[in-house]
Amino acid sequence: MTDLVIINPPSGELPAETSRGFPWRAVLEGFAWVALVAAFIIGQIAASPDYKGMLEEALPHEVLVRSEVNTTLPVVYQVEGKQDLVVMAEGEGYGGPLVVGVRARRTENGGRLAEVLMLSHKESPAFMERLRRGHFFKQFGGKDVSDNFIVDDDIDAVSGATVSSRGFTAAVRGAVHLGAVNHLNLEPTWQQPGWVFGSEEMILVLLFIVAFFAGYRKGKFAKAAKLVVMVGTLVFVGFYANASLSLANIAGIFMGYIPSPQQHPMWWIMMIGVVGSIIFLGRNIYCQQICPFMVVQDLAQKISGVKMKIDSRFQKRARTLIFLLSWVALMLIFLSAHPALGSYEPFAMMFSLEGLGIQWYILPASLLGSFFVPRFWCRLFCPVGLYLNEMVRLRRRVRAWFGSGSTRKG
Amino acid sequence: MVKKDKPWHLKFTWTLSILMLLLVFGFFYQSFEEMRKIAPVQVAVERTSGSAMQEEPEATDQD
Repeated sequence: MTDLVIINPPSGELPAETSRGFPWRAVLEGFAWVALVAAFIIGQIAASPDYKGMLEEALPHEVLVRSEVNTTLPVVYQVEGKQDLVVMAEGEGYGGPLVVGVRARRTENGGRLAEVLMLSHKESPAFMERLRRGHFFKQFGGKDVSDNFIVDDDIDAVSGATVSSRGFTAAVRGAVHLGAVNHLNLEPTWQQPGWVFGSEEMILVLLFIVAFFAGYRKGKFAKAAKLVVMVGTLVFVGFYANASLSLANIAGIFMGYIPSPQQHPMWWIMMIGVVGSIIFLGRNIYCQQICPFMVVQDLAQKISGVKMKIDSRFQKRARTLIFLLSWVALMLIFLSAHPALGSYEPFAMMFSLEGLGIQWYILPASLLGSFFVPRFWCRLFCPVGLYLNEMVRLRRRVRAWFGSGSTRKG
Repeated sequence: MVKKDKPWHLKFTWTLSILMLLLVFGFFYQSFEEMRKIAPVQVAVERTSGSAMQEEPEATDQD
């Protein structure tokens, strides 16, 4: 018995390469890899930011004079003929870096914020919509430059977009305080943000611990633990934090969009829990227990009681199909340097009920599918599940390679 | 005893799978269009004025 729950079909079901004739498959795979690398390079070159241009477009009526020669953020500008200062700084959002421009106005006692601009971001539309509807940005209007700018202190995060809230706040804080010290000659009286490890992070750690426990035990307690994880992940990881893993997260790692553990500990807990369970235990605990969309699909299945089978021809090609879909998605992500653009999963929309365009149809269609076919999305379309299961297989191969018994129970 | 699949089940799931596939490719097309709209400089997605305390609508990339 193996400890790997096969959600996507095993690699053995791939069409076997023919021994004769032109090696189409090898050529196609080679093309796919070359295209991905090319898309990545083109995307990185095209995404090289023109900070001055961004500000000039955002503040078309002002003449900006750079007061420090910085090629990287933060960059400070004086507004010609005015007592204003514009500082651009970067923060880490959920989808990648975000750049803000903060305009501070000198006052008798120091300065206050006159304007805050989000110049670029890589957040998914759902998160941005949450911030807008939650009136998150209004909190910054008119604040004093010596305020703390710390989430849960003088700034309220919007639930379901906590990481974006923290990233935006951190960027504003960095910009404002830099300008306050270097250009408004203020003494730092504000607090420094500490490590964010509160109840939310504790809940996620507990969920992983209980999931590990439930995966190894049998009996009443294990059953109860599974139920706790199921409800916990649906409510907390899904509806509260909206922190499902998606292709955007995986692509973001390749693009270097890795948040600091201080600012976004939940991202790290999730990654360490998921990757750690694969490396140390050989189990894809995310797909088996933590994924909230899996719980939604199981609930839909329980409600319907219908268990249809997928056409075997389709099922056999599922792994190839997901690779194809994720290749197209990665091409879009790398070319645009915007992870959210290729993330076709319905997770974010499911738990925020905010989406754009065709996403409104993908979610109900996948729910309809899972109503009749067990874990319809996981089996046919989920790139995260495929990649995590590939990691489990890779671990096995490595273990087998080093002769440490790949068939041992995890 | 082998349970035989009902033909209409297979037809239904096949149709549903193809529909999903079309929707996902539709999403890719939509993303591609979005990508073309994004100019190298993305400007003023959100603006908060200290004096007016009002959020201005999202600026287009074509400004």
